[in-house]
Amino acid sequence: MKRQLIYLLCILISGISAQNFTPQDIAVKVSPAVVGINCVLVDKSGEKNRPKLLYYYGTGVIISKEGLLLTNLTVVPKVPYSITLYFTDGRIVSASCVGIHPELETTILKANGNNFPHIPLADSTKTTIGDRVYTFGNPFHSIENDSEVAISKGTVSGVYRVTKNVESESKYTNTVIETNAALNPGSDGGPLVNHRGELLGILSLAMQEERRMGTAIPVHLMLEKLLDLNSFVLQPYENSMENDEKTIASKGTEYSENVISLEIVRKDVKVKQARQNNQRMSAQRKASIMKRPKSWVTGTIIEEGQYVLTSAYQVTSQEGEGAIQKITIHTPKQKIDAELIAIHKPYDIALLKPQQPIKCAKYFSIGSTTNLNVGQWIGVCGKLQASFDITCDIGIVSTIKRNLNLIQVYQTQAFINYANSGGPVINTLGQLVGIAGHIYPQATWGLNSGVSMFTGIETLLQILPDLKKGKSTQNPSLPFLGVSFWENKNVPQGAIISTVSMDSAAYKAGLLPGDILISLDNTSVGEWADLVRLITSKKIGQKIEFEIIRNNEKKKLTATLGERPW
Amino acid sequence: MVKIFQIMLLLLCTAFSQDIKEVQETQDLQDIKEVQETQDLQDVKQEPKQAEIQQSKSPLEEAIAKALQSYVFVDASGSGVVISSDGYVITNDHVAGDAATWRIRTTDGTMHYADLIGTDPYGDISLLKIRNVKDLPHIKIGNSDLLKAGQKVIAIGNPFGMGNLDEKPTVTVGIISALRRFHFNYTDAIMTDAPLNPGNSGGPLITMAGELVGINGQIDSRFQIRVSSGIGYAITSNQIKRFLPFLKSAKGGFVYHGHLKGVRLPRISGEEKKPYVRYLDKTSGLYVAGIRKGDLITHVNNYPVATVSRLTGLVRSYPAYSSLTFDILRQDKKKTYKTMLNIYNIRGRAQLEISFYPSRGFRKYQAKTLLVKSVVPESAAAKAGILPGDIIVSFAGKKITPNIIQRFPNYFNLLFSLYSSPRNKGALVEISVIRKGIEKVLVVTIKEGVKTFGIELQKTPSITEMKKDEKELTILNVQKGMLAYRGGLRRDDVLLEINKYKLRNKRSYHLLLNRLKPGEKIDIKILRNGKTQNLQVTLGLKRNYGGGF
Repeated sequence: MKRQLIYLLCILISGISAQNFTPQDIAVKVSPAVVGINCVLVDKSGEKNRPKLLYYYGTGVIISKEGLLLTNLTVVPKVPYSITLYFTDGRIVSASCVGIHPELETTILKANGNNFPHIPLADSTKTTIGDRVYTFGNPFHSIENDSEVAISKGTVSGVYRVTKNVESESKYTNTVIETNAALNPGSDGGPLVNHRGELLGILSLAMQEERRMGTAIPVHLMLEKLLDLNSFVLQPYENSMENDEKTIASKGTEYSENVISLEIVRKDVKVKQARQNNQRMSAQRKASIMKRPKSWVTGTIIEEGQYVLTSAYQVTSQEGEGAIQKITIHTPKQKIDAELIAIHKPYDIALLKPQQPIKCAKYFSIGSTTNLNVGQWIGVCGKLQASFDITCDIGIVSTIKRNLNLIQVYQTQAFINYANSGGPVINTLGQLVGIAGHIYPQATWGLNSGVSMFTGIETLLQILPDLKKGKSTQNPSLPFLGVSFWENKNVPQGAIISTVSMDSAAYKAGLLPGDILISLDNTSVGEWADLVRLITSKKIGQKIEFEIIRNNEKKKLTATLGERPW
Repeated sequence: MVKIFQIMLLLLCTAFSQDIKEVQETQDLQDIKEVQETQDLQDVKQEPKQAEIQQSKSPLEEAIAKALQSYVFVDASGSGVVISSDGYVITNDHVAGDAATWRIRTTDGTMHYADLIGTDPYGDISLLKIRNVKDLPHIKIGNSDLLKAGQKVIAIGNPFGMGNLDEKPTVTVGIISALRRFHFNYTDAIMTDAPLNPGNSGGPLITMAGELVGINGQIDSRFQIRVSSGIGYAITSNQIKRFLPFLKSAKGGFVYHGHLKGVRLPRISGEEKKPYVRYLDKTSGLYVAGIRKGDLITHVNNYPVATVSRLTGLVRSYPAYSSLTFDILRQDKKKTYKTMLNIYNIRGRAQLEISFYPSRGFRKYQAKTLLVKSVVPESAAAKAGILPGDIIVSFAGKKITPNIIQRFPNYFNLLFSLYSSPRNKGALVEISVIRKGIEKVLVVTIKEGVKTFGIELQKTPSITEMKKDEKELTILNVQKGMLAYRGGLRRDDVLLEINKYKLRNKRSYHLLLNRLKPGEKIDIKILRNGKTQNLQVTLGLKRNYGGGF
């Protein structure tokens, strides 16, 4: 009771002096309560009953003065042989196990000693997307080796129930708080704290298949177990200060009806025996991560519910997959069948028409990409089929007008994955500025890498009339000169030709391997990348004039660009 | 074999990547329409707020706009940052360490050439200098000691080579996750959660005030693939500042890190983390200065050191031979000593950046050389004018080395059939050969469907049959601008002695080279135009392209 009073007092005091904590403040406040954990288990189930030592490591967070400590089941899975805690000030303390709760994937420990720095618990029930959060952890042994807690700042990108956990170590399937702050092996068991430095959840390795992002187990689920051990109070929820991230997320929630779940039903195809290939381990791992999950994708409603836009890759079938049988739109109220009208493959856009218009209270207004700046915050919304909860990944615009396979898209730091590809990209005013996409196994940039692409709204409006008419655009043919280059640093300027394709534009023009191409249409060519850039700005059938050096003599040749044969 | 195909295709694809007709048209239209559209939108739909956004840039946007000016692309795969108006550029050693000249593109699209001034293989920093420039926008090097965990930082780079076609770098933001991390050879690293990916290497880490505080270079990843999961490591600007004078005077060579010699400390991953001196050699600098066994080192140069890893890391972040103060605790008494650091030798194998004429001295039994033994009459090779006795240097823009031929004896036919495949429908292909000491470029016409190239390479005799080859150590090529070239080695020189050891064949040359360290100065006796000559050459470092990202 006394403790509760003290806590109440604390709340009052903090309420009076409500302040905005900077990330530095949070780092100073929370770091002392974060510990690196080393756990040693004795495993007797091994061969010939010979006991084997198993080593686990991770992070924990102290939540009471007496040293009660929360961590993840993946750090301390059983009653251990020994637990060592590493503090950021260099102290090394042993601990004992107080409770193991596999259903919450949580372990409660007690550090030996007293007067530990600790952090209060936050009311995690009220956490919403866009709240600023921080993760603290011991990834790759940072606390043990260097006494340094790894801090990462992010926002809550979703609150949902994990239905398909793809992480082999974790078996958790319940509510999680998902964040775009960094979470790595060794961070598990660490705290997810809010903007005031209060504990929101315990970082978990659990990972929803479509999202593949870091998650935390909310602390309110554990409160019951904790109250058996000590008295705890959840600090009241306070809206994190107004910032762009929060504004975008609240706009996303406001328009969440406009983001819908699409169920894609593909014909079952017998899976062929995987070909034995000599891919490297990392390549295999990447291939397995980039494999798309089945059936559920996100779509965006446009034109008062008349049409739905989504990613073209998500609603078409690749080699080895069955043809699409049915596309159904799921909203919280109804199920509507939809028909694929057309796709624009280069921009990764598909247009669907629902059988009846989808009614929403309000619809996205159309924004503009012309005033986007590098560094401006935008959000990518998505729907998870499992819960119809909206997710919102927030990040800055990384590059304006990125040339991607020679179409122009926008690059953002916001994480795009199979769950939100096809979803809307919105700005702080809640206006639609693009459609997220360009996530497919061949993409070099991968999922959630901080390098993501979206198609700008102006481009969408350009291609929409054609899409409505049912005119699909496949990856089109490209202008082709028919040469390849030789990277040679000894050549001061120009591109050395190494091969000339038979019957290509270059062949007809009389270009020979070994020639150095120095200018094209009076624009000088510095290196081969320049030449590629220049040719891409031309059209098929266009006449070009280029200057070459052959046998130390300059020569001018003309060619008519052909069509790329593949 | 499959791999070669893939690589080839990739090369081709990148080389031929072209534009789309329809999209291009739409884009042309877009430029015109965009203006109209936005005007319409602003008239009808837009709230007045939109205009405000356009005008006022947030502090982050302004910091980014300023920081972008000093960013440069280093070749196609890496990043760098300009640090002075006369064109000094910092990048990673694993980006720019292995060649003397580099193509550098600034964000406004101008291409420059830059020379390697000095490199730091252990600290992973290379200093380049752009030729003939003035008044280049550059970045101020900040003080990384003032950084705090949680501080906002901006990273700029060229991840996955995304900016190779449109000359646009990628900007990511994050906070400083931790400081003073010991991560492999980054002994005093900044850890950040700004997404870093392959291609961000060498790029700057910048504060909101627009000061350079780190050079990004390594990552750890959750899924063990080379894609960011929010852990990136950067080299601190203060470490770079300490090495900068040495880098500037390195003449294309190396700089060295400091090291405590003759001291035994607890192991970094062991139970004991505090830096107690376990054992001291009587010749070590610390012993000479007055530190004894059992002392606890508390500060180095007034930086607190709580753990062994911090002590080792801090010491290695100083150049060799710098003098540092060591505060110690001996029986609860504080004492301060000053001592000079030893040199931390560069790990790795030494190399001279030269290649020899192909000879019979291959280690493998019956290996093939690059020497053409015979040419099938009327074949593509014969039509191209290849003669027996030619040495093949490159084919279709790819350097041919004895190693490739040893691993894939059928390499030429493989490349040949790739170009003659129905997909490629034949091609004209360059082949360069050395004939009587002169490099010649010939053109091979590959027709569709023809499968064989038509040359047979000479096989080496078995080792027992091998006779002494007078020309075995004749230099074929010296990598321009590199240390061997700067030392004076040229084509057709014959190596006679290294450090007074007589060289008999390539085997003895490699054996000797393996015993030497990178960065070491060696005396070479060569035969040039019939006269012997003595040269002093610095050895380079053989890099393995596994590390970094």
